[in-house]
Amino acid sequence: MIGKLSGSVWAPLLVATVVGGAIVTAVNSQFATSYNIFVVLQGTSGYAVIGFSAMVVLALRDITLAVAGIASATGVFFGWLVQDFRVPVVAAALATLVVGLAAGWLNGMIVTRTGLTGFVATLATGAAFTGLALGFTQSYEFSNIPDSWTNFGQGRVGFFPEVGFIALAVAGLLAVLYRWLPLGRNMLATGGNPEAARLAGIAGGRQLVWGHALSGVLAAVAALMYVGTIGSASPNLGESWILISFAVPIIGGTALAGGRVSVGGALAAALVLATINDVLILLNVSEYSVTFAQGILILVAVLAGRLQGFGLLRRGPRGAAGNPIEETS
Amino acid sequence: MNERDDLATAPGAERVAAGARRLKGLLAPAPSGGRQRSSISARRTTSLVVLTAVAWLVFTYGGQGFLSAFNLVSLELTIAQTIVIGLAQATMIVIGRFNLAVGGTGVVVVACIGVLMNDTGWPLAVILAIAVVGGILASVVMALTELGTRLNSFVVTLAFLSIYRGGELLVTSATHYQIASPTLLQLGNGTVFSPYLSPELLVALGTALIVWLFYFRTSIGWKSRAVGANERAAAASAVAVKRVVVIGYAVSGLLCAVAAILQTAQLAEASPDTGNDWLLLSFIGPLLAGVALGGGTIYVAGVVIGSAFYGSIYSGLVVLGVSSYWLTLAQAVVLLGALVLGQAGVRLLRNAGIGPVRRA
Repeated sequence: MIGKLSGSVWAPLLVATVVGGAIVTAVNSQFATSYNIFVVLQGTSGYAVIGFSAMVVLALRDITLAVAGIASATGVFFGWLVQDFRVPVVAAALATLVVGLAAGWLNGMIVTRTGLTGFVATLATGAAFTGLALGFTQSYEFSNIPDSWTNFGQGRVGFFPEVGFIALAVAGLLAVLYRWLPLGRNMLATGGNPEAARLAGIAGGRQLVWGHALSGVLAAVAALMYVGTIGSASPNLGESWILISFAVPIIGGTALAGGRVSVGGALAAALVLATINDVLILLNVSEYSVTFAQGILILVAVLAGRLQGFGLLRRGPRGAAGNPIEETS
Repeated sequence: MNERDDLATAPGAERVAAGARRLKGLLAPAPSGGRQRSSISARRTTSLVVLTAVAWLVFTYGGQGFLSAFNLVSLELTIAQTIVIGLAQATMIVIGRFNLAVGGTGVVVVACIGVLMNDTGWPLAVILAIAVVGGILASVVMALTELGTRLNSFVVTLAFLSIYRGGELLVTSATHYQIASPTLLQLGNGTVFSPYLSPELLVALGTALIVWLFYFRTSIGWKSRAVGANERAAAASAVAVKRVVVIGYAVSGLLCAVAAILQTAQLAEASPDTGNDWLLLSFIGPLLAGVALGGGTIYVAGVVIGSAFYGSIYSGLVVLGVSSYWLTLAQAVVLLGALVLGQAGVRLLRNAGIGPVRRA
């Protein structure tokens, strides 16, 4: 039911992307090559995990602006471990995930203990994480990432990127979490109606802490993937992630008002965004047009979702931010 | 015996009297929301002024040349910038909305200034007027999009941030336009009346005064606060909500334009990087002032004092020789500290029965 409703938001976009892809294939011989499909899917994988990181907090009717900050901080932490201490990559990656978890947990604790909204709290903590990464590295970039990690980040099986398996695994785990596990159901219940959830015996504060902590882990996963793909860990890693982090869940049909997630929708949205990115670059349009196009796409997508009448993203009495607006005479 | 009775009852009588006073306090009509808020605001203002004074003492004695003309002018430039950008956000918060696109609107204005200065020989006043109109229009387009689609201001302004930033880069190809206008250079790097006073600070304070007059001395300002506090109630009271929202966006766009002009004057160039760091900056003034993000309130003096505090810390750290790479962290920590302490303060006051019951 949930899947059907929210799925309809992104389905037309996916169709448009496939049709667009077919047209581009006719015009540009580079598009349908195995390598280019790999590039698109690699981009999709990164976008998807970034989007999941924001999505798990949106599901709780809260907002996190700290995805970029946590990614920058954890990416730098990983680079520091593997370059300066020669820590084996797997151990370093696990330690990085723990740091991401801790950072997200901290966000959750600040939000629940102070009563600040996630928007305000993570605006500050996100900047603090970015600031830590910048100050600690003095803007230095760890570019001596072990080959085993970059081989993984840039590796592929046929046309399928190896990092894509991580994105799929994360998507699978999230789908299981939200569909079958009590924790996920409780998080959705809290997001859907905090008061009702509280009366049903679900501790909203605990769900919120879990959600932010999960978001932190996912931001760290995304950072690890990008460090492998780019081959370096820079404190500016997450600089331009804020738009992507919201574009993916919003286009994918996750309600800003909380209580509903669409993991499949987020994957589709990531694919759409990555394809547009790729096509604009293939067609030699200025790189700046990508930023422009992504902004337009968010508007078009949420509008498309709204016009279909499901109103998942419509500002209503349950709106996350802003007040419902009434027709005036 | 008698004496004993007196001794025994005297404290008791006092307790009864105190109890009666307390009960009277409870039964008396609760002070209006405005007064509650102003008591919180007053406490906040006092603590911010004290903190700023402490910061000045520490930096004067702990660093080299905090009170030098050069440093004070650069401090004033930071404060001026923070005030105007903070007001651009505060004017959106007051109508119950967020503006994530302050930087996007700012960069549109910068592009107008850069392109017009470079390609035309028009007088400065005309160019600045066009740029300001550009900023207002950019913001009004967002308002119309929000009202037309009935989407959340968060989504709309997030999308337009990207559209304006990408659009600016497409139009200018990320060109940095040098500014040669002596008036602008004087504004950004000169001084007035004394070597210690930057004209930008005067512009910012003047802007703040006008914003205050607008929201507290005009009917449309009052209606804006009503719309922010409760849109439905405002609509039911025959307030033209849509018009108020469009005007709110327009005011925010105007302030973004002023901030963009101030920054262009400071940098002596129209830079496509303008506005990259405005999002965090725009929330510093309003949040330090303790404005509830739910809407309905604007605290202009708080934004000014909060900006003064933030600017003092920022330039003080520079004087202490802290590497510029640590300044982002300092910025965030100041904000976070103020938020957490402010929230704790609100909670204490609320427990004592005087605070507003509202999440910031």
